[in-house]
Amino acid sequence: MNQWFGFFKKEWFESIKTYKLLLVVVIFSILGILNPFTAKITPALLEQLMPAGTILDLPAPTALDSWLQFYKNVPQMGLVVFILLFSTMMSKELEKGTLVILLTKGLRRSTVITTKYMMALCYWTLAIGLSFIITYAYTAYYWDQSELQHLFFAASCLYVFGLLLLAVTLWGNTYFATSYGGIVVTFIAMIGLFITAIFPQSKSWNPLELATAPPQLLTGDLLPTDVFVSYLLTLGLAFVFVVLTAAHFKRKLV
Amino acid sequence: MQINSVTKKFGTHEVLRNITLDIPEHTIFGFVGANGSGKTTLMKCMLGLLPLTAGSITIAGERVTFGETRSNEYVGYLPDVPEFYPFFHARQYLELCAVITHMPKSEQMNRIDELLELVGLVDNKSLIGTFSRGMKQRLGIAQALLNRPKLLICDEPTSALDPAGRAQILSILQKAKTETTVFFSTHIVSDAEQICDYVAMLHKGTIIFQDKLINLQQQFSEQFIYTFTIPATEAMARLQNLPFTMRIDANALLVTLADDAARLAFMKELTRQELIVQSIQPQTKLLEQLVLEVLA
Repeated sequence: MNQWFGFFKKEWFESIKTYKLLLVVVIFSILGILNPFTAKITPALLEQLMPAGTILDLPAPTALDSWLQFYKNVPQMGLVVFILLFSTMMSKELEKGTLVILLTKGLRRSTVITTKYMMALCYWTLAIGLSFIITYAYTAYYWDQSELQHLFFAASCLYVFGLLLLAVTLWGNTYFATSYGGIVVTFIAMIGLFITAIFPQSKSWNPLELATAPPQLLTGDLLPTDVFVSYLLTLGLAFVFVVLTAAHFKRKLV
Repeated sequence: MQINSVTKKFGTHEVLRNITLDIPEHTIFGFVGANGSGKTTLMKCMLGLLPLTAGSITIAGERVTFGETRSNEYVGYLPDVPEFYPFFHARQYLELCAVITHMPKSEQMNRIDELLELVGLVDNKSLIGTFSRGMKQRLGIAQALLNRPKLLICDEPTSALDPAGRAQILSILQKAKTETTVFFSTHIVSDAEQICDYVAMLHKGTIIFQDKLINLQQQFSEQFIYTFTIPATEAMARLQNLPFTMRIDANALLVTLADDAARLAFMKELTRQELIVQSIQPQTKLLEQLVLEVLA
C-alpha cells in the first residue's frame, strides 16, 4: 500500500505542477457561477435586444432554469475539457519512458493504472463538487429550490457518467500509447452511445441516459428507479475498463 | 547471474542468437558491441521488459519473467537515456524510488544522502528538468544503486558524455563494484578497458568472445609490431620459415613472441636475414583492435 500512496503522491504533485488543479478549480468555478447567472440574465438580455415596443411574455426564471444550465454546461463544456486534461495520463509517461526506471524498481503495473484512475476520479469529484456547490448556493440566493426533485441523485448521474468516460479514455490512452488514443476512443464510444440511443428500447440501460436524464429527474418526470439499470451498468463498465487497462498494461512493452 | 542460450526474435528478425553468459559476483563486466548489435535488447530481456523467444535468464536465483518479475528486486538499471520527472528535485525523485522499493523510512535519508554524495549531486537544488545529460546520467546511477542491488545494469552509461563526464561515471562504477556486480554495455572500447574485469563482445546477435580482460591483455602483450625498411610483405616472405605466428597489418608485421627466448631468436633471425628494423612496438590496442577486426 505504501508503494501505492507513494506513486499517488507523485501523481498529485505532477497534477499541481502541470496546472491541472488550477485549471479544474478555475473552469468549474466559472461554470458554477455561470449557470444561475445565465438563467437570471437571459430574460433581461432578450428584452434589451428586442426592438423597443415589442411585448415579450417571458416567464420569470426559476431554480429549474439554473439547473438546466448546469446540465447543459457541465457535460458539454466541463466534461469535454476535463477529458482533454486527463487524456494523456499514460501516453505522456509511455512516450517519454519515465516509467521504465520505476517499473524495473518493482513498481506494480496495476498500481500505475489504479493510481492514475484514482487521481482522475479525485479531480472529477472536485470538479463536479465545486460546480454543484456554487450553482446550488447561488441558485438558493435567487430562487426557491424546494420543489426540485432528486437534486443530489441527478448530479450523481452525471458524475457516474464521467467516471465511465474517464475509464474509457484511460484504456484508449494506454492501449494506443499516443496522446490522441484516449480522445479518439472516447469520441468513438460517445458516437456509439448516441447511435444506440436512437433505438428507444435502449433507454432503460444506455449509459448516455445518465447525461440526459437529470433535467427530467429534477422535474419528477423520471424517477431514480428509471435510470437504475443505466446507473449500475455504467459503474460496472467503468470498473471493467479499468481492469482491462490494468490487464493490458501488465503485458505491455514499455 | 546467468544467461542461458537466450534467443530473441522480433518477428522473423533474430536479434539475439543463443546467448550464454555467466557474470561472476563483484566484478565489472563490460559488454562491448557496435550500435544495433543487440546490447540493449539483451538488457531489456534481463529486466523482464521484453519476452524471450527461447532460453532463460536467472538473477540471484530468481528466474526473470516478462512483465513484473521478482528478480528486479536484486537489480538496479540505468537506461541508455534515463528519463525522470522534470518537476522533481533529485532528492524527491530518489525518495519516490525509495518508497517504490519498500525501503524503510529510517534508512531512506542516510542512503539518499550517501548516494547524492557519491554522484556529486548533494548540493544541487535545481529541478531535474534543468539537468544536463551528465547530471541525469549520474542521478540515473544513484537511483540504480538505491536498493543496494546485487546486479547493476548500465546501458551505455558513457556514450553521450564528454571526456570529463565519462571519467566521472567510470569512477562511480568502479566505486560501486565493492557493493555490487556491474554489467555495462558500451561501444567505446577504451571505457571497457579502463575498468572492466571481464569483457564480452556481441556482434550481430552472438557473443564472439568472452574472457577476463587480463587474459585478453596477456594474449596481446605477447604481440609486437615490427616495421622494416622494406615492405612488410617482403619481410614476411623472407621470415616465413620461422615457427612464430606472424601476420601483416597496415604495412607492419605482427609477431607473437611468447617469451624472451623467442624474442631473442626472432632478433637473431632478423640480423641473419639482414632485415633492418625501423621500429618495434608492443601491441597495445587490445580491444579496439579486436573490435575493428571483427567489424572488418
